[in-house]
Amino acid sequence: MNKIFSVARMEILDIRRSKLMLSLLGFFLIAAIVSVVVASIDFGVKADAYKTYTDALAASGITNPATAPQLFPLHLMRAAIEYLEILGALFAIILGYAAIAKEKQRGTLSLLFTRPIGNFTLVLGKLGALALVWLAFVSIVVLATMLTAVIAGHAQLSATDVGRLLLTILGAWIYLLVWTAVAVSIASTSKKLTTALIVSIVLWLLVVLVIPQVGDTMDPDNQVPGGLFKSLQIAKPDETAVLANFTGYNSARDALEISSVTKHFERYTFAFLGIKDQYNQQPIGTVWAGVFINALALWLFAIGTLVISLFTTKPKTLLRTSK
Amino acid sequence: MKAIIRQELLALSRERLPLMLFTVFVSMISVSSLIGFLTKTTVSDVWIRTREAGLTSAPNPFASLSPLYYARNSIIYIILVGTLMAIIAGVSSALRDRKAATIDLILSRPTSRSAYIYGKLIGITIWLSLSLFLVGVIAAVVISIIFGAALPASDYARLAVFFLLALPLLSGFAAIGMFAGLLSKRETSALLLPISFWAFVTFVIPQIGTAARPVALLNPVPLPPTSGGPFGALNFFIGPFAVSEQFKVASGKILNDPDISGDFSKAIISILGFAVLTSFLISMVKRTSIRGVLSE
Repeated sequence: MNKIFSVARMEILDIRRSKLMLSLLGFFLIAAIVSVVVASIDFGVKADAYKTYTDALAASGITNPATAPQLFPLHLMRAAIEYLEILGALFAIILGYAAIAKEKQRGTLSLLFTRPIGNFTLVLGKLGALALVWLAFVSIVVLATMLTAVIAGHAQLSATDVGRLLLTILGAWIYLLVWTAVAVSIASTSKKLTTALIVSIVLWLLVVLVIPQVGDTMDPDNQVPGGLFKSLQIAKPDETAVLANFTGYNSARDALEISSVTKHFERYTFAFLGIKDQYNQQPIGTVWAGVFINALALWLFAIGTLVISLFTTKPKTLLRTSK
Repeated sequence: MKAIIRQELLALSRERLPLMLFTVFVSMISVSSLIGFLTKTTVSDVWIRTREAGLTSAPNPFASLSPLYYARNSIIYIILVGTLMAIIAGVSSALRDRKAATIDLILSRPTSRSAYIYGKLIGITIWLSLSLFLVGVIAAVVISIIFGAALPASDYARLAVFFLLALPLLSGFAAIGMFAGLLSKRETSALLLPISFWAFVTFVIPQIGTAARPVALLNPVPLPPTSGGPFGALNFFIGPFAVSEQFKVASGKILNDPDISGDFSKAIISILGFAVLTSFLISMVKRTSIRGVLSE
């Protein structure tokens, strides 16, 4: 156990010393904070527009039929979560890749494995360290964006909101661990490190950007600005009835979407943050019941990729691919 | 310079990594037309069902769309896959001679620094134009098959102009990749810095100017800035730097997409300006940097 801790301590020290890693994580934090500021200003603009509209109607003696825009503090975090979904996954790949690549580049593996360490010591130490780094990073991002929402967006948080945020941190942490484990596996099994990095990036491109984009494109409701069914003036129950005739198409679209871990992460976090309308202001138990399958999928992806990385990062494989 | 261009083309045709991304690029452009067809068919079927059930009297929103609608998703794949392919081609090209330690030998010949750099950039640009030509032909064939007839000549011309417009965008990102590859001391940072720049240009800059969320930016239709507040002014100054959004505007106009709003000439200036600025940027790389030792 002490040896695993030693590897983990060394890994954390390396990350702390890497200017590139710190710059990337800093860049992400700034992008996330800016996104909350932008969302807060955007809400303020909409609230002002509503007030102007109401005042104009009142001056004409007409009652405003439209409902006022309501601030849900956690909604301000939507873009930050999307950054975690896209850029967080990319940075998780980079960190996972770097953990293995640096040992291969420095030629320290041969020396390391002359010591009496077990098959899984190195990988457990490295993954443990990366898990800690991600937990700290996700917590900092969520805390910083929430503070920004409170300061810039004048948002007020309830105790339930804190619970939702903790569950969001948990989901984001698992999601980033999946990508780190994927990169660790690819870097361990590749003889050429550049190939490992590019294969990981191509995988990221397909799973994070292309598959969800194709899924969204295939949604008929996304095909017309403002929504197809709204443009056809069709009520929700009728919409459901019409779509029941297209189960084959919708199942294919759904199958494509659920093959991507990113979509599960998105559905999970959007539900807990109330971004998805049907879960907004619902009790946590109700939300949990609704997204249980996505939470389960996230865990399964994490367990699967971590197990694969354990078995692909054995001394034998590392020594063979680092020659 | 001719020898450098020829060597660059030969190396790019042999390297596996740019070819891997090229395969993804070709596949996505081919599949995107098919996805467009499936979606349009489904939406039209939804409309027929709702009309038959007496639920709507609105006209079919897709009835008057041109066949070029099927090429709409290609815009996003050029921004997502094409630009990354260009970056990786640029980085690979810049690192190749440094990794093989042949750079000192090459620069000992009567070859100027700018001939070496621009020879490589021209080589990559020719490779990118061949790639775009191929995907353009594939897109035209797939769309004609889906449409069930040859398209009007003007539509083929629009498709050609669309893929031609992608060239300065991709060439600009290839130059960014080269810039990082020529300056970086490590192979990893040579790859990561231009990819981070790409993420910044594609997601962060457009968000500041329009308040659009990152995932919404994966849509081929660019979002107009929120009216009111600082967004109009911010977008005026920042918008031209969001080159991927400008590419969406210009491409959408070329492909006759009725949902696209925005200033066409401003978008063209932005894309061409990006290509010129980035090619100027690589000319500033010093000889000592090019000859610098790569630590990985």
